[in-house]
Amino acid sequence: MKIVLIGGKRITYYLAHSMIAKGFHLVIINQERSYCDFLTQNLRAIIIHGDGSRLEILKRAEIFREDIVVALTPRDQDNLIIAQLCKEVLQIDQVFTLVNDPENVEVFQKLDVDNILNITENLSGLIEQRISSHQITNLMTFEEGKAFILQVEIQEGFPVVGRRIKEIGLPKGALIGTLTRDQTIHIPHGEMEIHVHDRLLVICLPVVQTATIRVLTGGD
Amino acid sequence: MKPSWYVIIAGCGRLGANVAGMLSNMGHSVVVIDRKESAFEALPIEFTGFTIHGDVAAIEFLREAKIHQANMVLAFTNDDNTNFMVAQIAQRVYHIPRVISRVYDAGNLALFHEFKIKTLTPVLLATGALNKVIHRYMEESG
Repeated sequence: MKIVLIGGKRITYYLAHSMIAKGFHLVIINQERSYCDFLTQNLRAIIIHGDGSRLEILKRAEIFREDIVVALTPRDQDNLIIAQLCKEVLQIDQVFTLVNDPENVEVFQKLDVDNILNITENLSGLIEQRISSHQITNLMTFEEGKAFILQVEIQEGFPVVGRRIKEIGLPKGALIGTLTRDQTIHIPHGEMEIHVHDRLLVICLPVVQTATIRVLTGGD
Repeated sequence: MKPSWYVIIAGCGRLGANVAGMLSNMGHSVVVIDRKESAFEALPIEFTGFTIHGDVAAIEFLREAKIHQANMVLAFTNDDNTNFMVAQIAQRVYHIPRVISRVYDAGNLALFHEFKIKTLTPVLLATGALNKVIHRYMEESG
């Protein structure tokens, strides 16, 4: 299995760098000759110079069904065509598509583009989370809003403080995915006790959102 | 009386501008979108429609043009990938009954046809027309 990164500049370089370090095989397609030279000199990857939104260039990368393609160009129209060529013509299952303009996300979904990377939305979510004074932050939704991730900062006086996770009565349809304590992230099990200042990431379905918040915080 | 249509033209190059004038002349309502404001200077005198200054690759400008009400959408920018995106949004998201995309590079035609987009390729039209003319010359010269 290999990972094919198409377009993008610095983010592509750093992404490739970290994935090569993790042992993946990388192919990078870039339109800019001088950037390809830079990549060739600095990365142990196959570099292809060319327009990745063209089928003949994609074919040169010899992408197979089990490979992963990531479309990272700064133009949404190029990323769309890359995603569709890879999915529908080359039959690749895993295609990740950067959508630069968050307004385009909805139409991309309607055009059957999945695995959308909405970086603008992700970044704004992260910033909101930092500046928010609330103990509960809605971090992200996925599967078109059918599930989401809440972040809850445990405060003094919350009913769950000092209790083990299996005892708190979290509703069915909610799961504590991570618990951060003193900058260490735990994937918690039922025996773990919740302390003040713990930060929980809770995956939950919309129907149990209110119940989940009530269980954790005692309020609505 | 012939029906009056609402037509959106993405891209105000020579082709887009001329077609906009022709459609205005026929009595249709036309909106032309282009990311360069100076492009609208190419619109002929008979053009009576509206212009929107914006990048058609951003859905907000297609919405501003009320794409959901269009009877026909013409994707006529000078960039095949942009035309491909506009044509698909018109056809598959807004179900516009008549969508035509200009294709610059004939090498891209198969892709457009694979996605069932009606295309217009000026270079092929010109070549075809020239082909006929040359055949006639050959016949005339015996």
